[in-house]
Amino acid sequence: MATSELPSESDAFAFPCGDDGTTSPALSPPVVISVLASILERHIALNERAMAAASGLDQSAPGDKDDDDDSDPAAAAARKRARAFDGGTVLDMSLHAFLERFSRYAHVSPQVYVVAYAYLDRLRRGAGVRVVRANAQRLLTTAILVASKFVEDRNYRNSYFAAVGGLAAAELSALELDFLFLMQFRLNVCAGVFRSYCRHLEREVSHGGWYRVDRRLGRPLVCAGEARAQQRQAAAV
Amino acid sequence: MATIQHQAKPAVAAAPSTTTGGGQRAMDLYEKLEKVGEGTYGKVYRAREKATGRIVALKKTRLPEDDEGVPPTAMREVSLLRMLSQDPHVVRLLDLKQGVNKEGQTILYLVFEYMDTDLKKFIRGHRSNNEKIPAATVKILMYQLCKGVAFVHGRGVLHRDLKPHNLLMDRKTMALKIADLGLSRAITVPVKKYTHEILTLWYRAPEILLGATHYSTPVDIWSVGCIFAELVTNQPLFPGDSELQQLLHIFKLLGTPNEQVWPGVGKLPNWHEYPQWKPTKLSALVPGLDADGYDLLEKLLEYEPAKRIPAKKALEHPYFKDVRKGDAH
Repeated sequence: MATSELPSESDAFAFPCGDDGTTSPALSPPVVISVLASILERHIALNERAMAAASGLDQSAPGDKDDDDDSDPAAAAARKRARAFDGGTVLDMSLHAFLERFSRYAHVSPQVYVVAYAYLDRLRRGAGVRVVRANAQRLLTTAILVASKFVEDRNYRNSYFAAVGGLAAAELSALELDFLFLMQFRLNVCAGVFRSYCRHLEREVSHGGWYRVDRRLGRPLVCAGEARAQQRQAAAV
Repeated sequence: MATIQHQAKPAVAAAPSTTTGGGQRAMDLYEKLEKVGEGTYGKVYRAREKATGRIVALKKTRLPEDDEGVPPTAMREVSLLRMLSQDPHVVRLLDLKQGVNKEGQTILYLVFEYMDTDLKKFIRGHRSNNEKIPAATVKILMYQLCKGVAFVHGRGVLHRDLKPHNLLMDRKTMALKIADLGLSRAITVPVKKYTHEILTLWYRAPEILLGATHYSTPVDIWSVGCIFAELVTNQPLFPGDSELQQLLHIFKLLGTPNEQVWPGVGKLPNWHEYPQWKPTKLSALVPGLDADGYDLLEKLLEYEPAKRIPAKKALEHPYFKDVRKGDAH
């Protein structure tokens, strides 16, 4: 049979962002937070414009199906989970200040922010959930919580994360489950994908924020093994 | 000639679904038959899927209305198994459902393929009958264990709790599968510090006991070595009852390490002056292996983590020569 194309041992265990277990100096906590805030602000602006355009089209197409089509129970369940992140409060501070709270009070590491960003990217591609003003507070808090639980061996309690994110503890725990099911529990970020996200952030730094991350992320970032597994699943359907 | 009986794989393996159990309550789909144990974070039942009659293992974890949310153990096990279950030597996660119990608490149900025993029971059964596990059987089980570990490590995952209880078996086919990834972690994202509070004490690698803040795949290889010895003798090799006792137990049997056999050992956080024991021959510690077996065991229980044989390399070791002939690839 064909030789294995699994990542070689050196690839799998390389530390792409520095050898001491932390990200490179270019991706220190303040830098990662600034870069992510900048990227997410642009995503939100783009998504808000897209939503406005879409709602404009909706009005001129009265024959469209109702949004709550129940023909597919799984799709309906996913929509319900996604809507859990909407509504309620909207951030009363800048994204930068909001993201910084997790570093200051919950000692979230730069790697966790990168993984949380990877999760938001997956949500957009998979479940079609985009960051907008209405969901940013809940979506970001939950993404950072889940990334922290997956990546770090020691974590703060959900109630503490909820306080840092300005949410009720019970609300965050419910959102956590919704997030996990929307992600289909695909939380692992393999070395190559992590490295790619780090490189994109580093380019954002070196280009002083002018760099358009969106363009370079046109292709979904999945590692070779996962891509093949997905192809097999697609073939199976 | 000892060969491994690989079960026929389904032509198209069903992808695990992650449904809400919308419509039907999750537990309405399964009939619990008996409780068979506890995993890292939940009770495990043998159950029958009502629609198909298939027997499965159901792992149930309650999410109480406290402030912990989804346990990281459950989160990691599901996500890592989704990536690893395609390997024949890793237990298959069939489904995942969210339900509610009678008290209104949220429940997560993980549905696994059912395996009728585990290595701990298998070893204990032989011990209570005062009989050794046949050498050919030891070899077949060890080969499968190394294959499973090689696959898991190849995907950048540490198991961190390899022990006989977490290695499921089918008595009829002698198939062996790695299970309970609740204490596993990916090592693809670099982090500053891994916890030491993992790995059942008897199978814990010396670098963890000495407080290394970074460790890697060799910690699982040490566990594999301990399991190998236990398969041969029916007794755990290093049965310590505290971290210090565990360390002393290892040093008494394998000799106290020094800078020559383990460069850098003196700089590990928990290192201090230990009594200077000399190593005992493995053939005295683990009677019943041939020369190739002792050579492999020695390489699995190498003190210096970087020198411990990787699982992938172990598969090529002469000890497995006759087993490899029966392997498809």
